[in-house]
Amino acid sequence: MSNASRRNFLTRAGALAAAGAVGAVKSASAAAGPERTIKLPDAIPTALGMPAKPAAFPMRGGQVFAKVCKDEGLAALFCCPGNYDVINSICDEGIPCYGGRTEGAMCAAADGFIRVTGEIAATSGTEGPGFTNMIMNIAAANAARTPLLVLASNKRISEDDTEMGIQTAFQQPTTEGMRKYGKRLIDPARLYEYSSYAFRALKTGVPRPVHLDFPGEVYGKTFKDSSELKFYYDTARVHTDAKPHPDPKRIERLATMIQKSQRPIIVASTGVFYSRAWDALKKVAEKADIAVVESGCSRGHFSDAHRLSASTSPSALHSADLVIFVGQYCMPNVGEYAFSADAQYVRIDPDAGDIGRNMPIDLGIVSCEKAALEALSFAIGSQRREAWVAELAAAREKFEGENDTYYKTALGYTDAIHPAVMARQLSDFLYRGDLAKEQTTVVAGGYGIARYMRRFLRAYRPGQLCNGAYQYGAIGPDLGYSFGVAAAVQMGVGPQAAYKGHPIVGITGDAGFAYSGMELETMAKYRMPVVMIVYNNNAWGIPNYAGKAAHMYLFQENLRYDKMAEALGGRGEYVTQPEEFMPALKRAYQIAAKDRVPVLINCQGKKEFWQRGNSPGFLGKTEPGCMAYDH
Amino acid sequence: MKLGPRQAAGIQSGDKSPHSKMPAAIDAVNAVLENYARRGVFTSFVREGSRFRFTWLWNRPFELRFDARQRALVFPAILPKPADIEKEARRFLRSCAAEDRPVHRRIDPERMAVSFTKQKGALTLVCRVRGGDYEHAVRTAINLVNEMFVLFLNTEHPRYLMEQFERPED
Repeated sequence: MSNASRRNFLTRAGALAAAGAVGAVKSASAAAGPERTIKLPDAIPTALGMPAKPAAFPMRGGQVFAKVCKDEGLAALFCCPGNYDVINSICDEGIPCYGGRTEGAMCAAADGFIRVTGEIAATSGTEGPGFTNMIMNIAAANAARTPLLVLASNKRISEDDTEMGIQTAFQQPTTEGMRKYGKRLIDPARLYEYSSYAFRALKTGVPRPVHLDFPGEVYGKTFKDSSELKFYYDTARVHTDAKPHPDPKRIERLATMIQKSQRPIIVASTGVFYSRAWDALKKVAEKADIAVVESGCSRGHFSDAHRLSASTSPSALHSADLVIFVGQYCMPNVGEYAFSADAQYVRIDPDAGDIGRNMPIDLGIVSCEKAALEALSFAIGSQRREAWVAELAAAREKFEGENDTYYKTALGYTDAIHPAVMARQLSDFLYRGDLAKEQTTVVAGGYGIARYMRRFLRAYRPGQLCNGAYQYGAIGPDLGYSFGVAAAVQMGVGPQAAYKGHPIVGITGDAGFAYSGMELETMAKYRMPVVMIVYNNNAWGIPNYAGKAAHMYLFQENLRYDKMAEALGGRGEYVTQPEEFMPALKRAYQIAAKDRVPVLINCQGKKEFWQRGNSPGFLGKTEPGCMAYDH
Repeated sequence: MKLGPRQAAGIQSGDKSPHSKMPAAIDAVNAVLENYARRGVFTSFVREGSRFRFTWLWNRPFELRFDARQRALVFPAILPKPADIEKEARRFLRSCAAEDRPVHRRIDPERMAVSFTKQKGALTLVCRVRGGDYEHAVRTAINLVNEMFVLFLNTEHPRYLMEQFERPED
């Protein structure tokens, strides 16, 4: 297997373990004759139906590592060919695996999967081009504080500095600054030990990506028994699931601050999701009428429908007199969150070294978020703050009124579809139509389109909304995120369990589509029911469409991304006027649900919508809350 | 003058020349502003007579002047080149004293009057103090400016912030 080639991998594809029977996909536009109809090769459903085949000694390096992954509960692998020993072995262990079209998008898929499940997933690619193709999305995962396991093969140590063959690359320096931990594995005997390093880093403290690269001497080494592996213990012995608990005196002090506060607010961010603290959060908020506003790379750990939610009450944020950051790993600077200059700040975070960064605090509490909130729920007394709750409600109503105004204004454009129309009607479909409002998981991506979508998208349960461009601002990974989120929902992982099998919705722009559009084929291959909405305004970049440089921002107009979807095994809809969007959305959803295929809705906008004088124009945002993506 | 934590906050003492006809008032203004620096709301702070300079929102420099004659807190040229937003900025200012605004955020006209004056193509914010409560006035003025930037401009005029305040474009 050390000489495994791409051809060998394809013939061994039976090791794939992702669930779900698949059949042929027909495309209305693929009319080149029945023999040319887009179809799945039989090998794919056959492979997907094969049972797991866990390894036993004697094992190769890849198998040893795969066993650690299985023992540690790795939830999924998203990869492209390359690093064969490792990915085939992970697949053999029965861990759900998915093979896509580009490493970058598969890296994003793993990130998206994690953002809506809270479980650890891996991505993998070959040593040189495959690995470097992931870089943008490793950086995005790092900015989002995603516990992403990045794997890549590497050349043999014995070939270091020789440029023998191809794909010479020094990987670890490349991910410096965009990971929590990284290691090029050198000594085969320490493979198990370093695998434990990796999972320790992924499972404790503030998460970020971990990068391991496997030289040939490591993944290809055969171990006849455990005596050849150092630290080969039960995985439970090499790390702990214990969490840091808060200092009771500080919890008491916080309880006093809450008691004295008239308008307290909790900023519930990434750490609330990863520590699965949503029940404790709700208990604290309800006991003392504390408002809750969300931030982070996923939303829904505090329902937007709750009377204490401030996620859609942006104008009320400035009234808060006590701000309690819980698990806000990516800290804003003064002026980036819309709180008043007189607000007091408290930070609850597992990393003492980060408390006080950017925003000086009045009280710091080092703790697992869930442990702190549970402790706080006992320490605080019951309080009612009717005036504060009323202010939140009034602010919510004002915000919805603004959105309604945008929508009505946007309906006046009939030569193209305005983002406000898309956003409002999507919102009507998802939350005020036949679907349960908690049902559909959504990936909110794109740039300009996102400024509208975020105003209208809601989250009612944990992991319902994946905030695509969070902090790093990458617009390209959206179809990758969507694939990973779809995989999570199809398998019903973590908080997606109750919504298993339902279609998901992904949103991107025409610029974003270019980076990961080929993953429509991956969605079709794995029969992922994804409604992919593409806002097509024939341009990208900040609106500056006149002058000599204009050509650099403009695309050919009226491009047919819908036909690309059809050509890749999905379905397509092309929407050019406001009244066409809702019917297209309904058709797309029904097809995705019934036929288990991705459906792309190509929404023909125009670049002029962002230009001055075209109300409502290029929108700003208020953070934290539903519009947030910087922090 | 004890510095202590102020040094860590980047606070410097500046010009101490006699300047004010209202030493108690300006001391009150100074005390409130200095406390923002102590708390880290301002990341630097310097007093030069009746002029206060501090680094604040988005790490940008701000200036507040105390006009003893007018009993006013003045933010000179706080909105440069306001052509596209002037009307809206004035509307925002009026809204801050509106009846439908929560009491704790409403500007009480009996305690302070706020207005924009146009000087050299920029809007200067003038907060005239009524009743002599300078601590309240400084807090109100600072929060007014805070809200003007982090809510009003950030939400409604992102392009103005990009063009005039070098806020990131993407």
